[in-house]
Amino acid sequence: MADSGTAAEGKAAPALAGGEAVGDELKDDTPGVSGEVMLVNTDSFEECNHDLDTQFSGGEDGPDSPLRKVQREQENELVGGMGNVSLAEEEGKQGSEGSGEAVAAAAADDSEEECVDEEYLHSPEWIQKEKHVFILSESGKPIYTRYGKEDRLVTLFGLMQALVSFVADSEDVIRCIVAGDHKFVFLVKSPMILVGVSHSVASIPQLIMQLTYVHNQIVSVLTGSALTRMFEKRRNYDFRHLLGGTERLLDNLLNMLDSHPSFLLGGVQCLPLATATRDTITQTIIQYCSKIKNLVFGLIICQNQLISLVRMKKFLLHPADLHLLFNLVNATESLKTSENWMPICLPKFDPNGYLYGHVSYLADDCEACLLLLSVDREQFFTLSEAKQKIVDRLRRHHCLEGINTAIRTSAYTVGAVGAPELRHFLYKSKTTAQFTCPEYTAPYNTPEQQRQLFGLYQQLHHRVHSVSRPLKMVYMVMDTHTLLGWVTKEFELYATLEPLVTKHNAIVYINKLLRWIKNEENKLFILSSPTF
Amino acid sequence: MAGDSQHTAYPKLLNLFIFNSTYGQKEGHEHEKILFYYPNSADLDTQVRHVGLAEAITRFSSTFRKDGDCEAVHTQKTRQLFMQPEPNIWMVMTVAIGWVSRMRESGPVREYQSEAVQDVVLRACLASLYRTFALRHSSFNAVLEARGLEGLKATLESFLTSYMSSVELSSGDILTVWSGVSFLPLDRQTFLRIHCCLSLLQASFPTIAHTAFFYNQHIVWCGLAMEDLRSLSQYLNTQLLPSRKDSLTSSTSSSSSSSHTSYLSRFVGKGVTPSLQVHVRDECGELQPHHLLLYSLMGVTICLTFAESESLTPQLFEKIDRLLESKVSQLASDIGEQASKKAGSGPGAEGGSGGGEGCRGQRWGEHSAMCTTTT
Repeated sequence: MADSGTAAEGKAAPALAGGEAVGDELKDDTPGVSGEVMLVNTDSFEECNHDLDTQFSGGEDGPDSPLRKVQREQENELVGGMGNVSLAEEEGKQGSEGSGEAVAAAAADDSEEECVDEEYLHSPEWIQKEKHVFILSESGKPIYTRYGKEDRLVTLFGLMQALVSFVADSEDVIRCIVAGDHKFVFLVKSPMILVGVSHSVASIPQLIMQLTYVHNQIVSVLTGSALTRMFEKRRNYDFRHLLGGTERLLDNLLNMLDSHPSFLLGGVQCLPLATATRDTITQTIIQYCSKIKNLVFGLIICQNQLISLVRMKKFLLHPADLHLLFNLVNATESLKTSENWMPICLPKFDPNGYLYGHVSYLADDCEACLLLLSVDREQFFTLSEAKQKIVDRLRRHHCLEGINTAIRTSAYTVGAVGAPELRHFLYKSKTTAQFTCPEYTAPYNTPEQQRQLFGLYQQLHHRVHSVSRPLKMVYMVMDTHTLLGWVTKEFELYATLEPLVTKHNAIVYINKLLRWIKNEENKLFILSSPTF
Repeated sequence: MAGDSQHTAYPKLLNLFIFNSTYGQKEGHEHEKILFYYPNSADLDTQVRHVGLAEAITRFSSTFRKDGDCEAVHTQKTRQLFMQPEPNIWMVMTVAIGWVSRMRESGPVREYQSEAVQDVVLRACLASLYRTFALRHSSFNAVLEARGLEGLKATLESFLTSYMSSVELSSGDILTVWSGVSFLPLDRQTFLRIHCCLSLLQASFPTIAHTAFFYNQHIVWCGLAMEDLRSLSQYLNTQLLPSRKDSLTSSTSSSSSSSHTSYLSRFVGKGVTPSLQVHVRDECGELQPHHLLLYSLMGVTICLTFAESESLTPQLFEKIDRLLESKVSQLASDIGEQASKKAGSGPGAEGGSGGGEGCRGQRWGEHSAMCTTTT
């Protein structure tokens, strides 16, 4: 577990004869800094490491779980109380229904022949895939594999389970196996074992973080307490039937993990919008939702970007939960056509219970999606009404058109900064847990190049955040580009420059970049933290 | 110390084993795979379990990576390193990771310092272990062919026990990774005199295959191939010379030393014809067995190799000793003088400016002499 007071190596500002030192003038003007916070600021890698040593609480909702807290508050305010939502009862019912089917299906599975078992292991194409993810139960039953069908890999899963349990016998936990470029990463989260096999440049902590996301996605569908309960009831339980449509979510998530910087940085990207428009939207949500009890979060998102977030006073939303919400909306096509009412568990908010979400697109002509998350199961109609009123008001104030325009035109390219040798950058504001980055332009306009660039950012990030030797700044000159990584208390910046740029010019460009972001910060970041 | 052990622990070697994955394939015969296991206080079941787990890991990793070996396994409390120096024969070493005790709300918790243990260093330790074994015994398969399975096990047992008592396997640093050779800086004259001495030796005894001249663990001149020099240098410095110091101190206390065996006190080893068998490359570049003689006097060690076929007689040793004794003692004292002069003039050079220039100029001259004469 890394202490947050990391011993800083490297200088905070490279000394240079003549020229500006980086960031001197910006100490008070750091872009994206805000006193009000609505997202939990996290170094997701520290969290993962911490989680590795402590499990989810796993049991029933304790009196301290956030859901219970929300409910208690509401009860205190109303006369007569709203009554507790009995989540436990409902899950018990779900469990027993599922198990009946599972028994029958398991019997059918056993009678299947295993002659096609080794098929994948002999196919070089399958083996060469850059990153495999396997999920199996602690008893070795296959649950999920990213490529191929999991029931064809029974021996491989058995081997993985044997490895984990052998090591567990000596009261130890297997973490990873290294073979040249290949890394086999194991994450044991009872009752599941997640294994990642990768020969990409992602480092071991990054792979563990990705597996944690996969695990969180499953928790988001089933809740942590349900998982532990199922495990306690029947160790041989076949999870696959409960995971029904989750495969789509997992596949989508895994694709995004490899290419989207939000997971790497632990932050959220906001749709660049004029402050006036965003304020109107936020006010609208507050106006129609503040009187609704038990409503915890109300947010509007679009294509992996956040437009507006309103929250209940005491609770912050964790970026990892927000990523799961993005994933849910992206991967579920059916949301487009209707209003949906679905149980969603947010693992970082409360892993042991469901929030109920009213999820719908704002309008047929608008790609933004409105999510209203509440602890009350029966609130569908209230929320549906609220949504209608919100959409009407937004339309009256032309916000829907504003959103549409923003979606089409707001992506900026690095040319807007006016620094000629700067090619691309990722800027994360630590206090608000939000980041921004420009569109990919030449030479990063092919998927191949973008993948390579992302790999470089991964390596840079790993080097800067290394547990034993963390750095404040790293400047790498390579043959096709120059990379800069810079971490301060307020922000993290990763930039790609032309390979022949001089250090002096690099400093000038970076300063220019920071000034530009500061100027645009009201559009690029959400600096306020609106509450109900 | 007892109190300390509760708050912190340092990395230490848990086990080291060598197994052949093609043996013991049948159920119930898995123990046949094991060629060597340390610590041998562990019972057979534990040994078989560890070997089985290691083998399973290598097979799992080769499913996905066909052209390379499994290198390391990280668990929360240990680090396990793998090396496959010869086909199907694996060397596996497990090191327990050090930990520090920290207080958290739930009570004292052990924080494992996994960053303090580095794969590349430990694998370099394994690699140099194998190199030293190859120097002495050529290879596992060669020993297997020459002496059979039991012979291999016995050889491994004796070699590894002595190696592990003199070398710390669970720690190291960048020098371990490089495992290089250190050259002794010398002035031109002395270097030429050493070269002449060795040439005279080789002319007088044409059966000598290679020579090498060491002073206090630094190499001055070597006729062996570079790879062999590296293994030899390491072996000398870690095993032979320290053990010689012990035998010297023990022999001075014993009263039996007759004058006509006095030459033996300068050769490292036991018996009337003390020599070691090593495998080094001959002129054609092939690995061949040789006899290695070590002549050690006043900090100088001269290594002589003879082809395996040569027979070594006590007269040979005596003649070599007569040739070398006076020359080497003179050389040793000269080198010693130089070294102390350098050490003395070092801090002085930084102080004065004029005097310093002179010294520095002289040293530059020496270095260039080294460069030209070693080609």
